[in-house]
Amino acid sequence: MITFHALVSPTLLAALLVPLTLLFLWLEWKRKQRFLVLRWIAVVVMMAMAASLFLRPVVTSEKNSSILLLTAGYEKQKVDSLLQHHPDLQLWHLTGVNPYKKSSLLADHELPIKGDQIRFVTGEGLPATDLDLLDNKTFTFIPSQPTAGIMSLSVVQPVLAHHPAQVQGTFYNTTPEKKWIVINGPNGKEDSVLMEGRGLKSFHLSFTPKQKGEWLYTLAIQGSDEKWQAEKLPVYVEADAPLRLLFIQDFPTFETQYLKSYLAHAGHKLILRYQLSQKIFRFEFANRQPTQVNRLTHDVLDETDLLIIDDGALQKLTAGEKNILKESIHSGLGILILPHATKTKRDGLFPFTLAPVKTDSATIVLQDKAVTLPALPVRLQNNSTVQSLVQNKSGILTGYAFSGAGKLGFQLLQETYRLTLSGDSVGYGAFWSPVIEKLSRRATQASSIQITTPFPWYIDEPLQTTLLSSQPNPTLFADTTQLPLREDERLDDAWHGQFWAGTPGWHSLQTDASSLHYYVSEKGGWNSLRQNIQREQNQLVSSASNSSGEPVLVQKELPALYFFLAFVAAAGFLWFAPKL
Amino acid sequence: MSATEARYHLLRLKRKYRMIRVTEALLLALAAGLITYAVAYWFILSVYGLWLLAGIAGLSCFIVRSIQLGLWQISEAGVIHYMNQHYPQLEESADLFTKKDDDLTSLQQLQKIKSLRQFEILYPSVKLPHKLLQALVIFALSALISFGSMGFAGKHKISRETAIPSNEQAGPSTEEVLPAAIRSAAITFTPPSYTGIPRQTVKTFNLRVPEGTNVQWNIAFTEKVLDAKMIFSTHDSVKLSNTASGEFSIQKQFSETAFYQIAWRNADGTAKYSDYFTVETIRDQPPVIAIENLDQFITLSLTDNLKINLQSTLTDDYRVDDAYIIATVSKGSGESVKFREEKLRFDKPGKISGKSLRANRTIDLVKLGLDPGDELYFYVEALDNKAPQPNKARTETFFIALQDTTQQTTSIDPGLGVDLMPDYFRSQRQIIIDSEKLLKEKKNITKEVFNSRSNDLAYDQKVLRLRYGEFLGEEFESGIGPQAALPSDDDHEEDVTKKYGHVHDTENEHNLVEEKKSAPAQDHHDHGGDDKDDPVKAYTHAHDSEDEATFFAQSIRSKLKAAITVMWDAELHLRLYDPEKSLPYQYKALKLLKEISQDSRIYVHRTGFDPPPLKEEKRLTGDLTELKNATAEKSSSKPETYPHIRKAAALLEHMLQSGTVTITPDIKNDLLKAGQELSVVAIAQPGRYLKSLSLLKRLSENEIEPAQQPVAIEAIRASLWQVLPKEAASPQSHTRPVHALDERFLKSMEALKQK
Repeated sequence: MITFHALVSPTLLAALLVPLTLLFLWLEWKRKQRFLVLRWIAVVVMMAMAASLFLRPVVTSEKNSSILLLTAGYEKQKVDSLLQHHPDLQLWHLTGVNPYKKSSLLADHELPIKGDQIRFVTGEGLPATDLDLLDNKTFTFIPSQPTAGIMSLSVVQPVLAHHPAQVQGTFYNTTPEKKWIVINGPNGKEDSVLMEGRGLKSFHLSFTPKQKGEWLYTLAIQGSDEKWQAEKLPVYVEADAPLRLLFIQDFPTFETQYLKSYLAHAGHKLILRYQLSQKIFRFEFANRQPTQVNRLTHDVLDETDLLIIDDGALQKLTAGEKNILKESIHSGLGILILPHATKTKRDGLFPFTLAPVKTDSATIVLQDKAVTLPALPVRLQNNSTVQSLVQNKSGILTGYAFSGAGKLGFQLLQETYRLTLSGDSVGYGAFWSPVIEKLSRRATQASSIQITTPFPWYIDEPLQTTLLSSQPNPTLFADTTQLPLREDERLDDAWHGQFWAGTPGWHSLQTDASSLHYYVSEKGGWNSLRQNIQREQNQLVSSASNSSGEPVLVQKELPALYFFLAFVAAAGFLWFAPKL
Repeated sequence: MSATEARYHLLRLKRKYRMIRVTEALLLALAAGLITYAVAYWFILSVYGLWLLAGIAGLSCFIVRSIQLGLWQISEAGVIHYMNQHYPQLEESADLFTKKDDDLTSLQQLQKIKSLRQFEILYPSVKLPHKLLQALVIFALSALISFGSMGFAGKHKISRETAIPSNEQAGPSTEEVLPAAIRSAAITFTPPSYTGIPRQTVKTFNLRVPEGTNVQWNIAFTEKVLDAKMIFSTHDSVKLSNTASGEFSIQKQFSETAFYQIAWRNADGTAKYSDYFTVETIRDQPPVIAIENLDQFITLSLTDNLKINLQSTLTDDYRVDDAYIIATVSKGSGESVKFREEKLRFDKPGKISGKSLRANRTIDLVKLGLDPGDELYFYVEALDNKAPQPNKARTETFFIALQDTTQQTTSIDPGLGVDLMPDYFRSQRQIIIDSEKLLKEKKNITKEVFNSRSNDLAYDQKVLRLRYGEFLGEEFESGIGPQAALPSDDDHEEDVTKKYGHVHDTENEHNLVEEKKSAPAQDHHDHGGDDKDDPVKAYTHAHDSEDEATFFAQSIRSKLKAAITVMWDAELHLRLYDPEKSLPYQYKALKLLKEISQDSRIYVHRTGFDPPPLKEEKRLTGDLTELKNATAEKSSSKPETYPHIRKAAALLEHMLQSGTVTITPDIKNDLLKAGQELSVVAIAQPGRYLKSLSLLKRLSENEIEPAQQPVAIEAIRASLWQVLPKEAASPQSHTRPVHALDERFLKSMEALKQK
């Protein structure tokens, strides 16, 4: 069917051209020359073509509306296969993507309009920003083969000074060649891993930062031509946060004295209590004001993150104190019990059953070294609910069980100060630090910020953030700009916001109570990671529905050039005819 | 052709011949020069030296060759002769060309005309003798060989050049750029004479010199400077003295590694500092001694070969000057252990001297007087030539024990056969028992026997007295008081004093538990010369005051003195063959000795806890009202290590990340403070941190080119990070966001548990 996209009013045109045509026909007839019929035809054609130039005729045909959208990195074979199965698919490509088989360019602003018609997306997929523009995501995503590189990456948070930090990720190799992944810190190489074989492999790297603050490590990957491709890995090392510990013991031991000096040196707030007689105690305080703790009360325990208590002192607690202790543990307090081999009995505060063993020592692996330490000649029996902190073949030596929000821990190893005495104070720290951290009360935070858009983040790209805050009207600042927040309609206290990443470098999100430091990468960095994230996001919304799509009317404008040429030809004939 | 033309042509031939021969000789000379240059290039010579050698070789070759060819004696006659010889067409008439027609006969003239015609035809094809091609080939070959060999020598030479400093253990490092305002610097270092390293003058500021080297700097500045000084290891500054020639100079001896910086003020008063430079000292190591063929513990039986061959290797970084074996023979067992020490020289070589040598000695155990049951301890000691105090080194002590198969030894440790706790408190009782026994047997024995036994007992009593006397510092006083009449006693006495009294084996401490006695013994040898002020002292043999030279408290000492006095009496009566009178004294002595032993125990107790007196009325009442809680407070959080380095590291990281380097006064201050902290570390390891320290200084002065800044900052950051120590991980408080859902989750879990 032909319709017109007329540039001027057809009536006006008809009013002008029809009399003109009649006039020209009459003039030709009057000339009394040869080829009258041909000249008449030429006049008609000429006028018709002139009319067409202004009327712009359009051919309308019925076609399948389904679109195959080509995105960056698409594979031609896959497109061909798709076209073989669905020959009536329309081919469109995104900006910056090489066209294929007369595919049409789909401009960004057209995406919401054509969105419903997209049936297949092939290549690396639509960027997250483009996905947001589609109301109904009904396409099937056919991903291209990934390029070699890092597919996923995470740095285990929080990263703390002198604590080993872990970097986990997956690496995709397209060739069977071996490749090194190296993490470099301010002082050069920190750790490396050799990736062997083709396909997706996971890797694990570790490093130990020495100083708090914002640092850029680099993750270098050996390329196929021995060149190293380095990516900047942002690492924010958190500042030290001291704990509040309370030691209650019948008498001081070397173990607690060494533990005390280790913790006091690190700046933790300590109270140590030893029993001199029934009601008389000896107290030691470190890094805090002296407050005498003659009996355990809610106030005392609320001010404590971890209670370290030996069996004798635990037994001597009054029933009231034990109840208060249980309640405090329930609300988050941690407790580490140093049991006695035979005297400690199972009860509400010590829900563990210990079975005697013959050995009085235990060999554990500490910082990749085997260390033998004296241990109580007992091991844990019921270990289904117990989380292990230190264990070896003979069983769990240090562990804990949950009790409400708090943790009940126990320690069967003894004389760990031997590590310090042998000069391995780093090993001593590596042993005690995770034990105390795991058991201690987790400080409550009024708000927590999270960027939900996966790393890497580039300049001028939208980042989604979620804020959990108990405040009625929380405020969130990106550097110095306050962000508009939208409250989650289903989840209480959850707020969502969107902001645009600034210049490459470190930035921060802050609320009154907390802050989050994040790094905006330079464009082009972390390419394989970004591609993989995009593929995953597309796969997430990809649907396998096999709808064949509704037929649509497709209009195609006839090219004006043809009309012009025909016009010139007809006019030319009229000029030439008298000369023949 | 006329005769004149012919002569002209002859002259040309002569010139041409000379040119050819000169070229030939030159080519050969060049070849010789090239070869010489290439050969000399293999040896380390300066460029001027190389050119000189090559020039001499080339010139001499040229001269020899030109003399050989007689280049400077070529005459026209010679050429004519050659033409006549080689071209028969001239019919031996070429010499006619040189003669005037008037002098010639008509026949000669005819011949001349004929020859001239021939010469005209001949001239273009005249061939002069030469070896030009040969010379060219030789030249080409020599050029090929020399360039080829120099190409290889390049690497060789570089490796040799780098090897030099380590071989000589001293000398300048690579050439470096002088600070802008310093025109020239001459640094002269004079190593100690014993090292044998000659005095050297270098232009490099970073030095590596032997310990104790005297270094002198002569520095000339490009402009007038004020207050020039040298700062050693960032704190110790010495002013440079101005010499007559306008140079500044300073001299310093280095026994420790240090670094320095030159500081001055320009004429306009601005303070300027140079880079940091190191003076690394090479320690004079003590000799290294190795005994290769012996085990440390050797047990021999009498039937074995008792000649031990000791082979040892002695090495030192400069020279071993002396070495010997210290051998100690230990004889006897229990209380009667005797030591004899000998210094043995090596058999071969006769004189110990050299950087590395092997020394042998055959130790004849029999000659040393070793009997079965005896032991020999020895070690080798070596001294190097270091002045004024040589370095001394010794080996471990080696033990050779000669087994005594006739006796069952009960000693637990065969290595050290010394019983350090002889039983002193037994003998007095023994003497009493023996005295009583003698009195009982008096009737049955002859007077001589009685007297003799009484005298023996007196001797035992004396021995006992001497033993206790040791405690009061009386070990040399065996001669005081009445001496025994019997000469044999004297012999015995001397033996006894040797055995128990004065032991001169002070060198033996290595084998023994330290004896307190040795201190006074040493005094005995040392005093003498120093007492010029007091004429009496010079002539008397005075020991330490007895009252002070004991192990015991005053009360015990007085008791001990009393006991010894009583023992004198007991001995006196025994010597007078009157044991009856002696016995009361002996009992008294025994009683005193027992008291002393008791007292010394009480004395030990008194060093313990002395409780305050108890109030009887309060005892056992259970009243604890006055007892209070004890508290101890401690605020001992460890201060952060290297605070400024940490701050600077963060600053540099920020600069690297942002890509902009702006040095504000605050940042400069932080960097300088970090530099001070780094300098402390750099003194210990200058090679490792000095470069960074100097970069840090330049950065703080903003003297680094913008293009080089990132590399420099990375280098500094790496060094700062290296300095930060590896510390023990400390537990940290973790946070968790509070959410009502968590609470509800926990409650539901509890509810589930209770079900």
